[in-house]
Formats: sequence, structure tokens, C-alpha cells
Amino acid sequence: MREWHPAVSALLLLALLFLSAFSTEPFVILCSLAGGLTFCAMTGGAKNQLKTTFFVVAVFTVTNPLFSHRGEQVLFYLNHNAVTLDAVLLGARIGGMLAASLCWFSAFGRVLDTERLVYLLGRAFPKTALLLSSALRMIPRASRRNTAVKEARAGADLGGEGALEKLRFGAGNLSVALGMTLESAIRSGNTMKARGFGLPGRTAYTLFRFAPRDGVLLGAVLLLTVLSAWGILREIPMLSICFGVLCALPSLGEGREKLRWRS
Amino acid sequence: MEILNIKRLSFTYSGAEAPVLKDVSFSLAPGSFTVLMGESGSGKSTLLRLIKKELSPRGKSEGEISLLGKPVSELTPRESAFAVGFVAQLPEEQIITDRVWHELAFTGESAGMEDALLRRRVGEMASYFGMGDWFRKETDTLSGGQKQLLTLASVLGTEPALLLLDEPTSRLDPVAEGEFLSLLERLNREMGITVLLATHDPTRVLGMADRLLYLEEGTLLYHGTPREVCARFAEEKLPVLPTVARVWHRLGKEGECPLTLREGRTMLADQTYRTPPVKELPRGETVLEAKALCFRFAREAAPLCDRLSFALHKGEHLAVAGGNGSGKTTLLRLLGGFLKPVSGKILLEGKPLQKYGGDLWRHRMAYLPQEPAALFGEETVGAEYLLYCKNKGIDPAVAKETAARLGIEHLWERHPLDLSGGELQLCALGRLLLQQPGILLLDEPTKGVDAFAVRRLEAILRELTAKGTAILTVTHDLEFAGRNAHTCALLFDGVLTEPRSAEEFFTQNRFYTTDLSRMTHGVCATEEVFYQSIE
Repeated sequence: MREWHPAVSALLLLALLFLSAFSTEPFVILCSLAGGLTFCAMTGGAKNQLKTTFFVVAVFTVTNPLFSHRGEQVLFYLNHNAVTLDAVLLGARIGGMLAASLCWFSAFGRVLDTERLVYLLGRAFPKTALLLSSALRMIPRASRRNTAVKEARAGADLGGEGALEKLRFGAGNLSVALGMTLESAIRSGNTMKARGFGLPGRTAYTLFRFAPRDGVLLGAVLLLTVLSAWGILREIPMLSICFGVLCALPSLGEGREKLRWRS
Repeated sequence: MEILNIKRLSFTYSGAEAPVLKDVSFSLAPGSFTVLMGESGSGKSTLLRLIKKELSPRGKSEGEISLLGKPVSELTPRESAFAVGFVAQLPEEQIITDRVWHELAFTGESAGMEDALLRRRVGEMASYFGMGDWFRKETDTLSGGQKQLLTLASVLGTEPALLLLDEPTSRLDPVAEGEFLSLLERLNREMGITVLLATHDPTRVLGMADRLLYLEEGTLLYHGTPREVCARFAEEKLPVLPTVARVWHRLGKEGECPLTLREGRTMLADQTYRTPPVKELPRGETVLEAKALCFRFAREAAPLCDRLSFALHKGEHLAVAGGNGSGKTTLLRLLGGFLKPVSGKILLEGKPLQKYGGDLWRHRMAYLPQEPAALFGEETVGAEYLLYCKNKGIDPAVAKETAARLGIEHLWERHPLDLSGGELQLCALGRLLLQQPGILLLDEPTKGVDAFAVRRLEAILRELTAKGTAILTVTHDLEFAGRNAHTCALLFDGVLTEPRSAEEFFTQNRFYTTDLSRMTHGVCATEEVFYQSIE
């Protein structure tokens, strides 16, 4: 999927995330889980994702009957409360729904790295995207600066023994690091101004280009999303099959790329 | 028509009384390469910033600056932003975005370039600067030299007529500095971009420059070709001169002043030398010792220390040289107890560090980091000194005395972040001396420090070693090491070579050595020995 245009991958994965999050239909959940787990396995995160899935499903299957006592078929009584089969099944379904959503969420994070996210954001909100881009640059710098300040001040014998001294030392470090961060932010701002930031008519350089194939994919994803949404909401089994296809799409895309690069 | 014309420029910062620039006039011909020199605080940066409107400081200015025949104040924002490219000192703070490609495109994006042109320009630049391999990298993962190249490349996107560079290489190691300057020279020669470069170390740029300007306290003191100005320097400003010219001066100034090492070699071609007396090395008791230190950041990472051992003696100044990423700073952080070695021992006065209990050994081993600003938490230098005295029960008079000894009393009331590199280095050192440390660990003490401040620092360090303080310096500045260190060692591939006397180290080295050793083909390495062996 990394060869697709980010907009297409984002749309597909968001559609899967939302559709999975709104249906407790067993067919939908199973399709979603199967598709999601396959995709995670292909991108190298199967073990963690399987663990999460089992955990979530187990927790809801066990806890739901403790709170919900409705249903016809009583399995046994716990503290004079009925534990019903319906409640157990509903719990499993809710757990499955959540696990499937989590699965797609992790897939989204795996496919859309910061570069793709900033690009997508930049199409809609150029300034926000630039802010995000420079903020992303600030984070590693800030953490390095904190270490440098701590070591410099410890090396100058400013640290001390005892809780109060340590607290004072930490607070001092924080204030120095903050001052340095502000100072550097001002300089960065000047650099931006010096390079013509803020002049009207700014354009954007992008790494991603929309290929005809992306157009076809986008059309297919849109059509399938609308049909499956309809199918799920109106409970039309025929249309639900569309959702199955949609779930298989990421794995198919990934599989195709894998095949091509196999040898 | 001149690219830049400055007429009788004076400038006073708002709130200040005295002007920082006084009656400065000069002009730059198209395609020229001009070097602007001066001590920290002489007004170099202010002058450059006044030319670039977006970066101009607030204050009152008189006289006129015209760019491409138009007064700077009348330039449209677009003209001013794109006709002048500005590269400043700190590579860290001039990079705006998180990816190399985005940084390269930034200026073009601001200019509103159409997609095809922008794409071509970015591609051109990445190829010209050899950035193909790191085009998609995160800017944070680049080395300092790469960052500075990126900054230079990214201001070129909109074809500036004039490039202003404010000490662009003062934070780089010699290899990165050479790479940056040779690219700059190429840009000047091939593309005809006019260059105005401010620096306080002219050694590597004199050969490229057409003209040299020297600012002192805001006045343009000298102005001429590098040879003319260097000949004038020899009379009044000896420390500023590169070694080649200084030797020429001391030898009696025959012929033209040499500017490059090559010319220096020619000058010394017929020189005969006699063996100078051997200087005794301080070999008192061992104060700091590393025994078979091993260190790496991760299990799979390359070792930065691989059974590294050495001993530092009382009154000894040991300089550790080594390339970028060889682990020089890491070694200091290990010795300073900030990183834990994987195995091996560090003995402070014969006792392992961890046996001292907590931080009780801290005051004995002072650490001056690369960015000394990091150790100042108070509003003024004086407050920082007094705070330490109060915490440790030291008589406040000692703080004043120390400041006087270092000649920094006039900085007592200043905010640490407002100081120049050299001033900050001295103030931080003074603060560390309040600990009365037996050992000083210095990380690149001359980085970004001008020649005069370096000499002041050197005098203090020499005084300290004479009184028995042991100093361990890691540095790229081999001239500094040659002038000051008793012993030198090379750190490479996790191993520190056995420390040898500075003279032996540099005369034997071929690549990591002083200019004088290169000029004399490895006969003499330091000026002191050189003058002794020719007279």
C-alpha cells in the first residue's frame, strides 16, 4: 500500500475503521478481523495485534454478562444473578468490533507515516501542516537539550543530595531548557521570515503524485464504501459482501507489492 | 553596477548608548568574494543583519545601504527575501522542517514557484550538493556539516544575487568546514554569486577571498586585498593571523605575505633546523585513570570505547583529537559520570567513581560542555556565581576574585544568553573554577570563540596546569591542542592511542596535524619549538 497515493490509503483505512466501529454484525466483524489481521501480519505486526485481539474479545466476553442479565438462555447463576448466553455472545461481538477497529487503527499508523500525514494535512491546511512539520523537528531537539542541560549543571556541581535539593535541581534544569527553547524558537522564526515565509502565493512541493491507477482505486474504494455502508445500515446481506471485498483490499494491495518485490 | 553599496553606515541598538557600527563604507562588486573579520562583538553580525531586511535589529541607523542600486528600505518584501541569502552560525536553528526535501523546497515554495520549476530546482540543488542519499531523510539525523550544507542549498533555491554568511563554519569540524568552504568557493566561481562571509578564523578562506574587511569596535579598520590586510595585521593583530602569515612575520617578512599552506611550504623550503631541547612532561601522580572502558549505546551499535585505557597526571593537559562521531564527547560523558560504561573502571584519585557515594566527587571534576549556556540558570553571570558560593558556603569575595582573574568583571551583570561565544566560555569556566576542581574536562572549548578570546582562555588554562590542575580537552582545533596540550592522543574506533608529547604527536601525524607540521614536512609542529629550532 506504500505505493498508493496517501489519499487513497487514508480513505480506505478510515472507511474500514469507521464501518467496523459501527456494526456488531458477526459477518462484518469476522470479515473485518480477518482482513485487518492478515494486513497486520503482512506488515509485520501480527503477534502484537493477535494478542490485543484476544485480550479485548476475552475481556468483553467475560465482563458483559456481569453487567447485562437479559436473555432467554441462562447458563448459570452468579451471586443470584443470571449469566445468559445472549449476554456472552453480545460481549464477544462488542469485543470483536473493538478489536477490529483497533486493528485498522494500527494499520493506519503503519501505512500513513508522518510524511504522508503531513502531506495530506498540507493539502487541506498548509499552515497547520508546516507547523506540524516544524513541531516534529522540535521534539528530538528538546529532548537532547534536556539531557545537555542536566549534564552541564550536574558537571558544574549544582546537583545535590536529598529530595528537596533534587527537586530544586530538576526545576532549575527545566527553566534553563525552556529559556533555550524559546531563544531557538525566535531564531527559527527569523529564518522562516528570511526565506520569504508569509508572502502571498505560496506553493507546495510534494513527494506524492496522483497516478491514473490511484484514480481507479479511489473510485473503487468510494463505491465499495458507499455500498457497504448501505448494506450494513439496512442489513442487506448481498451488499454486506461489498464490505468483505473492502476488507480484503489492503491485503491485496500489499500482497501485490510484496509479490512484485519478491525476487 | 555594484551588488551592494554601503555609505557611511552607523547603527545604534535601541536602548543602547554607544553605536555598534560607526561610519562604515564599502561596496561589493558582482561575483566578488569578500571576507569580513573582527572579534566577537565588533559588529560583524549587526552589519550583515542590516543588509538583510527581515533580520535587521531594532535601532537607529544613519547612512545608506543599497542593494542592486536600490536602498534596502525601499526593497519590496519579495525582493529582499529572495535577492539575499543568509546563512548563520548555528546549523541547528536554521532548519525549519523535519525532512531534507521539504527544507530544500521551502524557499521556492515561499516564492510561489510553479510545480515544474520547483521540482527541477530542488532536483538540481540536491544533485549539485550531492544530497541524493539523504534527500528523504529526517533533518534531525544529519551531521552538523550536512545541516550547514542543507541551509546553504536551501537559500540558493531562488537565485540570490548576494550570499551573506555569518560564521557558518565556526561550529563544524575541520573536514566539514573544508567541504563547506570549497562548495562556497565553487558557487562563487561557477555561478557568480557574490559572497560576503563573516568569520573570526581566516585560515581557510584567505586563499579564496578577493577582499578582506576588518571591523574593530564598529569601525572598518582595514579594507583591501588579503595580502595587504594580512601585512597590516602582522603589525597590530598577531593572534588573528593564520599560522602561515604569523611565521612569515616572525621570520622577517621577506617577499609577499603567504596566505595558503602551499605558499608557506615554499617560504620554508630552504629552512634548516636544529634539534630543540626536549620539554619535560608533567608526570606527577595520576589523578584520573580509565581502565579497560567499554561502551556502546546499544547492543548492536558500534563500540565507542573498546577496552579504552589512559591516565591523566597532575598538572597535565591532555588533548584528545578524533573525527566526527569517533566518540570524543561520549568519552567525556563517561568520565564525567553521565553515562555508565558497559564494563571497565574510572578511577578518580585512585578510587573508583561509584565508591565516592552519590555526587560527592562532583566538585573535584568540573565539566565544561560544548554549549556552556546550558549551565546558567540565573539571570546574570554574577548571580550564578553567588548562588554557587551560597550553596557551598564559599566566601562571596572568592567569586569576585575569580571573575577578576579571568578578566570578566565587566560581564558580571550581563545575562548569560546575551554573551558572545568567547565570553560565555570564560564565564562558564570561571564558574567551574569556584569548585576548585582538580580535573577539568573541556569539550571543544574553542568552538565559536574568536582568536583574542582563545588567547585569553589559553593563558588561564596554562596558569591552571602550572598550579597542578589536570585538564582533558577533546577538540577538533589542532592548532589549539598544539599550542597548549602537553600530551595528545587520537581516539579512533573505540581506542585511545597512547598519549605522546604534543610535538611528537603532531610531527608524526600526516593528516591530523597542525599547519606548521604540514609546512615544515613534519619537522616542527608547534610554534614554540619552531622558533627554538631555527634561531
